[in-house]
Amino acid sequence: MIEAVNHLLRGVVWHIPTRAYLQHAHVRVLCITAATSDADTFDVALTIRGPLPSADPAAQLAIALYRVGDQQMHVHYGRLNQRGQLLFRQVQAGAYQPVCTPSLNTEAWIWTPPPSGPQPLSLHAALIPTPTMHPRPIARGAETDQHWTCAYQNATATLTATLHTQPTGHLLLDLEAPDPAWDGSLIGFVWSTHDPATGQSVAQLLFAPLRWSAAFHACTAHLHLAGPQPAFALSLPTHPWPLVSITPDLAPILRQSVTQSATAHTRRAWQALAQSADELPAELRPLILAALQP
Amino acid sequence: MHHANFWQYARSALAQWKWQVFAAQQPPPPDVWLHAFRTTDLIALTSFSDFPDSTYSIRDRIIGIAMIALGPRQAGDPPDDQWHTLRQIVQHDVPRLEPAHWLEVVIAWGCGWQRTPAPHRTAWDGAWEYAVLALYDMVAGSVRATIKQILRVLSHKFHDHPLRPLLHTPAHSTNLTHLLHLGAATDLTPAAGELTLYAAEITMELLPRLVPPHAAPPDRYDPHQLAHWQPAHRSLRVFLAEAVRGSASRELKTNAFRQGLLYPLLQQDFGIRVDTAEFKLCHSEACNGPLIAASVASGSPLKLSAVSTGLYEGARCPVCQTPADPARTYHIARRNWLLVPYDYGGMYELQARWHCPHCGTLFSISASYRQEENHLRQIEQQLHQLREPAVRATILHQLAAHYQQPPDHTALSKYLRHQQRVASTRLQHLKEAVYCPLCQHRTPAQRPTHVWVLRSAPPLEGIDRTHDEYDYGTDSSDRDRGPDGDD
Repeated sequence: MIEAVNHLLRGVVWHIPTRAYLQHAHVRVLCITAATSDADTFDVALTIRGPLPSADPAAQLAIALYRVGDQQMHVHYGRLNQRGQLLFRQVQAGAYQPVCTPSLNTEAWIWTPPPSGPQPLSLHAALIPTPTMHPRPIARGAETDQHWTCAYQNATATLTATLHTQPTGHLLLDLEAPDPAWDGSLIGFVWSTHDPATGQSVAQLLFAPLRWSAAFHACTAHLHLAGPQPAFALSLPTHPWPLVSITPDLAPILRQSVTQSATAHTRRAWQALAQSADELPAELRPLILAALQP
Repeated sequence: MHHANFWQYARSALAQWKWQVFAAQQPPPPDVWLHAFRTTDLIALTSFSDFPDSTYSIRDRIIGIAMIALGPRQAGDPPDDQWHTLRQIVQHDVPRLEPAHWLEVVIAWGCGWQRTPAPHRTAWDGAWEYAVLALYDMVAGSVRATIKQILRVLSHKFHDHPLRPLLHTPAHSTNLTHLLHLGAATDLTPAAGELTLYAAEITMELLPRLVPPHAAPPDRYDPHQLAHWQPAHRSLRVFLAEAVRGSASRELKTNAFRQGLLYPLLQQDFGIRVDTAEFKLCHSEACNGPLIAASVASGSPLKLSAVSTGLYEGARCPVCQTPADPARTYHIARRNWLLVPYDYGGMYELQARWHCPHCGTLFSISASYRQEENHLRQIEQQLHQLREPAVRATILHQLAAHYQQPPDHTALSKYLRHQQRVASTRLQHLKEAVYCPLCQHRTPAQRPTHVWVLRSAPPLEGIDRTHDEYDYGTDSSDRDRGPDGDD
């Protein structure tokens, strides 16, 4: 399906707000634009029909719109809903190149600056017009050319994740659960990166121990995440990861997670977990403590 | 027959028309001139070029100009076979002087109607991009008209103040109020995001089906497919209006609306549904007292068609202000009622009712019956769970923690089955002891009837509707049908 759509879109440039219809072999793409209250921008509705039934994996496809011929790089990105539709909001007029990519099977997308150059960047996540979308962005901080923050919640609104860009170019992830019951629990989440240029996607399971913080009045954990990435996604759990299901084959992931701890608070949480959690396999405890060593 | 000169004339007419209409905006954007082209005076358009009068009729000229306007831009002149086929179709199906309908035939043809488009987007034998976009515009007009019709019916039946949905709406909200906001805001042009998606979805449904390689074509008959349009019977606008909302009437026909392509989309996203609702017939002497008395005495259920006043939802008759009385007010089911459930922001909830076979009224189910029914459901659920090995093990494990001699699976199952029989018997006895509050007849055992009931709500200022205003019902007559506007 992706190949068929990209074959159809190859070399295509859409001049928003001009509408377009493409058909080739067994795929159709209808691009409709609609004026918004802002005179300079348009809503862009994409509808894609392919050979697969709509319940199958049109929903797993994602579409990115790259603005062409502009020194400011504008990227609009979103995932198709189950009808094979996507609505980009507030798109500026101009020429855009559409690209179809596989979805990372995650629920939300945001874009990070490209690795080269300090060019001003415009980031737009397209909201899928369906009632539920988790984790959902709950706040968007002040954005500058170099720095932005974005907060997400999990489906039950019990866990909040805030992403910050760091001066080093890396990302800092703050996990926060206001419920004291999460104290001492282990959070497993999926961090996915995607490079539209190569089409390669990498999804990585990571762990973070939550520990009560009097300063934040919540259970928190802080991690470094590799960056910058062309695109990334975050999938948050609704419940802590059961410690009894941590098996020795997760050792590499645990080691990686420990080394990505960003604060002493989080390292202490790992230490406490390794020393007091009886459910953890005995062979994993020294591994965690060793990974904590500088 | 060589038509090269003819196509030059057609191109010249189109170019000169664009120049005159969009003098200040050259070249005009395709979307702009395409919309103007569909609504322009096509006969006047033919005068923009010096067609040799004796060779080509007005119909030929308009078909030719439409093909040039809607067809692929860089594929040369239209092929002779398409030109001849289109002329024959128009001559046979739309013989009258109806340029707008001739144009509709060309639009449908460009979308793949009456032919199998080749998978080349730049050739005449493929689907024509501008024709598909013109079809989309027509569908979008019909979608907007339908939303406005829904608004007229539903706008006051929400949790909050009726006008609230039309005010302070977050820009990115995707709830029903947002949809209503968009439908009400007629100054939004050409369309807002969500409505655009619906129109695009329906347009895709209308186009010929895509058949994957080595796959059999779908055998499902879909009356809304563009392939089933017959220009001799109805215009494309009417056909599209019927595809969108089931009927081309200017008023919403709810039963037909359920058959349209827009209904499942709105039901999925916003909970809008067409179903059976409960209405009350006022029992006061000034309203329907004599009718109800006659019905009770004769044992003949009342029909809605016999009622001329005092039909209402809510707590009080809007005509005589008499409050509803469960023992005297007649309750009647009204089919094909457009509603929004409470869970989706509307004012309706599904409730079970008994139906009196003697006088025909609906009446409430007693609390004891509902309690017993819930009890029976719980037992059946437990029995179902007991069939799952994992759940069974958990239940037995829990029992072992509480009892010195916990029952085994067989004993537990036997016990639950016994409980099920007891509850069923008790429920049956309750069913047989039901009396109609109006006619006092004992009703035979029956399954409850489920109807949507308007939840009691505080009176809404300025809203005092009688049944006359609800009269958008299910008449099959479409005599007042009319095409939808574009806006």
